[in-house]
Parts: sequence; C-alpha cells; structure tokens
Amino acid sequence: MCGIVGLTGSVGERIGLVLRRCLERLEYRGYDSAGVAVVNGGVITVRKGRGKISEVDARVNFTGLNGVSGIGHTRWATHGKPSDENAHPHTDCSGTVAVVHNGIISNYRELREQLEARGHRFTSDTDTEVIAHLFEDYVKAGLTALEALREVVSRLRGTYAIALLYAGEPDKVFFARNVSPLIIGLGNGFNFLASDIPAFLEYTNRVITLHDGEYGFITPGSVYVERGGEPVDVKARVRVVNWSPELASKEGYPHFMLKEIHEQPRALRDTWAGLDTDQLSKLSDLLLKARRVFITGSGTSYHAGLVFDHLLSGLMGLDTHAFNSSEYKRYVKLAGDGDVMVAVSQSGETIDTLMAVRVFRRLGVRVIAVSNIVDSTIPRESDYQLYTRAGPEVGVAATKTFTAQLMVLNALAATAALGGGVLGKDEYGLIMGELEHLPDLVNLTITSVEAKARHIASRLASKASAYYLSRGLGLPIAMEGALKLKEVAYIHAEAYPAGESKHGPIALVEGGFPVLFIATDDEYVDALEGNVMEMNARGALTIGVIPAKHQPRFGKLLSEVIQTPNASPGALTILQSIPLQLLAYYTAVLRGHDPDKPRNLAKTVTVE
Amino acid sequence: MGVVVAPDNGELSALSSGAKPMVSLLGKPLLRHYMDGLRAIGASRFIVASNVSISLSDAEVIDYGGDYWATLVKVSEIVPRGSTVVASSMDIYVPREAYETLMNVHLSMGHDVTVLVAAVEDTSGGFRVNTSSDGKVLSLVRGGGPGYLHLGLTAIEQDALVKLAGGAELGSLRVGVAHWGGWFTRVNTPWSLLEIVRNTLANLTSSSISTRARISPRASMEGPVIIDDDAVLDHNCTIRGPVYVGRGVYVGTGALIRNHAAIEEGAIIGANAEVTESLIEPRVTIGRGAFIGASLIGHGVVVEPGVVTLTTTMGRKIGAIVGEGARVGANSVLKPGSLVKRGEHVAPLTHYG
Repeated sequence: MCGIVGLTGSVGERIGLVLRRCLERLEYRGYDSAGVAVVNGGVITVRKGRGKISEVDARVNFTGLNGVSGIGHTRWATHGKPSDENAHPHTDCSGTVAVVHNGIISNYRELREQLEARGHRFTSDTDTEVIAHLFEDYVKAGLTALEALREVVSRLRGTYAIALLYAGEPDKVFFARNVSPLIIGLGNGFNFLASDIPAFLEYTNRVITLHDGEYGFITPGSVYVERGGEPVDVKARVRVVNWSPELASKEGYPHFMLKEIHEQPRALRDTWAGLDTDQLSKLSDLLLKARRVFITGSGTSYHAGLVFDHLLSGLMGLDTHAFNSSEYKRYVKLAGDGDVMVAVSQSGETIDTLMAVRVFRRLGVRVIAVSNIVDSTIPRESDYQLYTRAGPEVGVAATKTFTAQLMVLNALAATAALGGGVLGKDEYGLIMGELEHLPDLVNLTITSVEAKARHIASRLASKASAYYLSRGLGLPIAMEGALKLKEVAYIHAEAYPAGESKHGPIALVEGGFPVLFIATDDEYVDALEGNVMEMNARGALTIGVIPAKHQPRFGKLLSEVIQTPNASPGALTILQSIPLQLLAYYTAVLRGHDPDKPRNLAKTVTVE
Repeated sequence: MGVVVAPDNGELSALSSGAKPMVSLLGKPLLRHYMDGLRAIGASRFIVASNVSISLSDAEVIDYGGDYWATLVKVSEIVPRGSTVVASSMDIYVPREAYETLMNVHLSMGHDVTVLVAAVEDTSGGFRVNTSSDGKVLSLVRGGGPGYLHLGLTAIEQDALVKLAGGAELGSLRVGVAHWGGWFTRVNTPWSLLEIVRNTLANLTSSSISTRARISPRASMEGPVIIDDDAVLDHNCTIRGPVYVGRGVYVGTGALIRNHAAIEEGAIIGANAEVTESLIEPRVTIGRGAFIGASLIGHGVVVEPGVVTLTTTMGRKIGAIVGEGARVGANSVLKPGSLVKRGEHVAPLTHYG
C-alpha cells in the first residue's frame, strides 16, 4: 500500500508545498520513503528519498519546487527495499517521464526484460519503473501521450493506480486505475488526483471516483477519462464530500483497529507470498545447529516470540530462552558464539529489542530479525531478516502484524522441524499447506465470531478485571488477549497458566468475575476442562475460545463460547487471536474509548 | 438522492396517530433524523416511501414497495441518470457517523453498491449479508442466526440500480461492505425509541441552551443538556444531563428532569414531578409530584398528579407505555410493562397493569 497524489493548475500556493501537505495526509498508507516530481518549462524535476515525508523534505526540499503540474508519492516497500533509488517518482531514460504508482505490476519482470533488450536502462528494483520506460518507448515510436498511455495500460497486468507526468505536455497529469483506489478532486483552475479523498480535501471537496480499467488525464480546467479506447462521460459522477477527512482514511471502518482486524486475510496472504522457502531452510539450519536459541521482543511481539519458543522447545526439544527484550541483561552471561537470537519487532525500531540485538551480536550471537518494516534498524543491524508483509499498521494496538508474525514463525518452526526430523515430509507438507490456506480460514473466523465477540463485549464492558487462562501454546495467546483488553478497553486483565489458579489468583474470583479460557488442541486440553469447572464453582463468568472439535465437551460448561474452526496447534494460535482482538475492540467501543489512540501509548517505543 | 424507506408496521402506533415516521424524537419527527443523516452526506433531493399518508414540502412521497429492495426497484424509475442513491430504512436507526462511514467506502472504493453492516448474534427480522470465502458479497438474504446484519443503509449508483431492477443479481455487481462498530437500534417496538434517546444523549458532550429559553436564576442545570427555544425552567427545578428539553416545554417549580430524558415540544412537567430515562411526546401534561421512569408517554397524554410508574429490569429497564390522548388518574400506579391504550382513561387510584 502506498499513497499517490497528482496536481495540475494553481491553488494559490507553491506546488511543492501543496503536494507535501497532500502526502502527509496519506502517510497512513506508507511512510518509508517519499518523493515528488514537478514539470516546469518542459523540464521535469524529481526530488525523493528514503525516510518520512518531513525528513525527506528537510533533505531535498520539495516544498521549494514550483511548476505547472506535479505528482507525489509516499511509499510502503513491496518491490525493493526502502532507499533513495527505490523511492518514487521513477523516470524514464531521458527524464521526460515521471511516474508514481500504488499497487503491484505482476508482469513487470517480463516487461523489464523486453525493455532492457530494447536498450532501456533501469535505475531501481521497483516494478514501477517499467511504466515510465514503457511510456517513453511508445512516445518515441511517434505516439501521442494519450495513445502511449492507452498502449501502456493494455500491457500492464496486476493492480495499479498510476499518476504520470510527461514533459511534452506539462499541463497534464496522466492517470490509470485498476483495483488500487484513485480519486479525482475537482477545483477551480486546478485538479487533483489521489489515492484517497483526505489528501486534497483541504482544497476541494468535489470528487470523481475512477473505476477499474479507466485512464486519462487531468488539466487545470478539464478531466478526460477513457476506458478500452472509448471516452467515458464522468460529469454525472461528480460527488460532493462534506464529512470529516479523518473518517475517510479508515476506508469506511469506524476505527483503524477494526479495519486492521478485517485486513488480516490479506495481510496473511501477502506475508505468505513473501516467504522464501530457501531462506526458511537456511535459517532453520542455523536454528538446528545453534547451541541455544534466544527469542526476544516487547509487548505483542514478545507474545509471538513465546509461541515460537513453545514450538521450538516444546515440540522439537531445542534449547530456547524467550524473554522480554527489556530484560535481556539477565541472559548476557549465557550468550556466546554458536548461539542464535530471534528478535521480533513490528516496527524494527523498538529500542529495548535493538539494545538486546546490539549486545548479543557483540557477544557473537547471530541474529534473525522478524519485522514488518523493510530495512528498519533492527533488521539492518541483524544478520538475517524475515519480513511480515502486513502493510502499515496505524492502530496502536497490534492486530494484523501479530498474526503475520505468527505465520512467519510457524513457517520457520515447521521448516526447522522438517530439518530436525521431528516432522516427516508429508506432515510438513500438510502444515505448510494449512498455513497457505489459512487466510481463508481467518476470513471465515472473523465472519463467524464477530457477532459473538460483540455480544460478549457487552457483558465484559462493565467489569473491572478479567483473567485469561490457558495452557501450553494457548498461553501466549491468552497473554496477548489480556494485553489487548488492557491497552484499548482499559480493563485490568491478567493472563497466567490455568494450573496456577489455586496457587493464588482464584482468591479474587467471585460471582460474575470474567475468566476467559483459550482451549488448545493438544495434551493440555483435558487439564483445562478441570480449570473451567473450578472457576464455574465460584460463579465466574466463564468465556471460552474453543476449536470446533472441542465444542461438545466445553459447550455446556461455559457461560459463553466463541467457536473457531479446527486447525493444527500452531495455526490455531492465529485463529484464536482473532476473537480476542474483536473482544477488546468492541469492549473499548462500548466503554466509550477510542481504540486507535490508547492513552499513554505510542506505536513505536524508541525510549528505554 | 436520498431515499428513506419508511413503512409503518404499527410498531409505534400507541404513541401517535401521526404514524411512525412522525413520532417526535429529540425535537423533530423520527423521519427527519433519517433525512438529516442523508443530507449530511450530500443528499439534496429526497424520496420517502411509505404506506401511510405523509405530506412533506421537501421530499417526493411514494408508495412503499412491500419491502426494502422492492422499494428501491420502484425508485430506479425516478432517480436521475448518473446519481448516487443512498437509501435508509426506518426499521433500523443508526447515528450520523454511520452515514459518513458508508459514503466514504462507497466513494473511495468506487463500488456500484455499498451496504452498511454490523456483526450481530441474531440477524432475524432483517437482511443478512451472504459472502463468499474471499469476502465478496453474493447476496442479501433473510436474516437468521449470527452474521452481518444489513443496517438498512445502502449507497447505490443509479446505473447499478437499473441493473438490479432489471433482475441482475447483487453478486454480479461490485458490492462493497462498510462495517459499523458503533451503536444502532432496531426500531421494532416503542422501547426502541428509548434506546435511541439513551444512545444519542449518552454521546452528548456539551450543553446547548437557547437564548430564547426562559430560565429561572434559581433553576439548576448540570450538563450536558439541550434546552430548546421558548422552554421555561421555573424556580428550583433541576435539569441533570444528559437531557433534552424541547421547544416551549414548561418545567415546574422543584421538578427534577434527569438522565436520558427527552421532553418534546410543548409538554408540561408539573411542580415536583420527576422524569428519567423516558420519552415524553409533544403536548403531554405530567401532573405535580408524578414519577415517570423508563417510560414512553404518547402525544397529548394527561398524567394527573401523583402518578407513579414502576420499573423492572429485564435486559433493559421497563416502565410503562401510555398511548396517545390517554388520561391516567391521580395517584395511580402503573406497574412495569403496563400499556395504557390510546385514549384510555385510567381512574384515579388505580393499580394498573
């Protein structure tokens, strides 16, 4: 996901400044690099770089640019790491074409080879650059800009929203849309293009939404749209937006948190597609040969690490130590050559995890980073990188990045289990096949549990405390569920191994005290049944997250049941996370809190 | 183009002979809340489809088509080419922000049709969204069981509406789903109105007091409250928010109007009476010293002095419903769940219900 803007004409301010403002409104769509291009006197000037919009602007000064027309981009890396070269806009060989793009050109390799064979020279690793060269190729062959665009669109496969500047026609911004959103904003003497309405809402609220397959251009005074070579009349499609821009960026969900919960099937599909089996085997060899494996992270990432810890030590017998990254000092004396550390950090910038990585590497430990942000500090300072591809997460409470971490770590654990002989080839194939199809199951889970979670939230909303209990692999999921409830609903929640109840915690339980049980599908499940009964005996409000196959034994025992589809133990951790996220979300909303902005919390913690 | 699908199936008939769309709620007819929601997202022309006679200066009134989708099909013949139709059903009430949520998805994603949904445990009585495994909307089916309930709010492009009217399946169009996580109320009993009042007032964050209200310097108000034009708050009355006091309402000496009460236009609240969690329709008289809790008092009702409603909690608090034009005699007691029929006279000192 990236954000694009285009502007032609004058809004009464310097174009570079306007483009920067528009891009800042799209920063939720990506923020690893940014750039703008403007055309002035038949010359295109491109300024771009790696970093947040404000950082890049400070370095290359795009607010200083002036011109007739311009385009801008804020990037979330998919093809090629974040770097100055890979930042958009991209240009052709002659510098007369500049293009920004959101989406994925699926046939870009093939196009790139053809273009390179024809003498085009590429300067980036992105799929986007082929668009600029392809356009150049057609213009050089004598086509007009619009004809060239028509041909380009017919050659591209995949998803895209494109804005393109051509020095030969400086008052135009060309565009094309397929699947990725693209909106035209109509002004008086100027027109905008953007991925999302809030980008230009400060300047105009008259919009035209483009449909798939449409392309054309805007000039300061007109809009021309075509589809399949036929002009499209868009006059009747002009709409006036008179609601708040803040809502618009959530794509229609009331909060980013709910949007990101619902995005999980896509996030997991992209994460799976980004996994490289060769790399997984290489890393699993590393783990298998390691003297011991340290696993670290903070908050939600630590919980993902605990699942991995259980898979490696509990199922495979590796010598693992999982710890909160802020507590790394305790393990320093254990660490040395031959050890491996797995450092999990969504942002790749978490300061405690970074400190642990630095210290352990200095001691000779080789580090595998798991992060959602390509080339962020922790992956950069680590020996190996594994990326989740969940897309930018705006809600402070981690949701889709957590399940994406679980997917990556499950895949790595399964590969290690194959290498270590714990799993046979067939079993390994089954587990990987299950992970591959998990996005569909996640979608089914969201659909089937959301109503129930909303209902249970109404019972939870008036409570002051809750326990989250489980055993084995379910324990990290219980911890994560409790964390979610704490951070967004502000209800005190505590997770502990269910067997600990009678050693203290049960003293707090009285009539109506909510106790959530996360039932795994393994040897721990029998014992958990007993734990449910002991809570029932004290009148607790018992709520269970239960895989379908255990419904018969738990269904009647519990006050409320959330049933998830069946899955193998590792994959089940992903499915069981979902109702707990929804439960926290709806409880927060019912209590009148904004789950996107939990008090006292920041998305990325960069102070110790 | 805004369309309000406004059938009156008699759910609220006790409260007003003016039919469901015209029941007064927080200062305006229920129908106006739907029209204002649509207006907030840009609708400037309105169609109201109803099975009861209503006359509106700013909307075209057509016959209800038998159900929601049949009504939309009827509308397809009269909406202008190229317009977006946003339809809202009076069977469900959603707050203003939900309209914005719907419109935002619809516009930014470029869908043909966008439906607003919420996850509920029981979708019966409404339409449930039937999706494929990859999340594509295939159809809207009669509700039943848990799932995503259609909240009666749909944005649809005119050309897509014509296709639907021509018999096209919903699944053949580009259909988007907007998810609503906030509150909504199914309007299927008079109690639904109390729920709307409660939720709307609960979200009130600041007071607004008309400069045309006449307020005794000895009246006390604790916010948030809305005091409308020409309301009169007499000495020593207490208004403890969140509360709505409508146009021309009189609140007598020593009366207490407290949480989640809505007093509609021209009602009179007698000295030392107490009203809480209730909807008092226009032109009602509540006699001195009466207590009205968790109740609905229909248009023009006279509640004589000393009447007490009793409440019980059955999932929600239940008091009494007093039908339009009824009269409740002095010092009567209305037991929980009492329904005083329209025009009925309850003798003084009755234990009713």
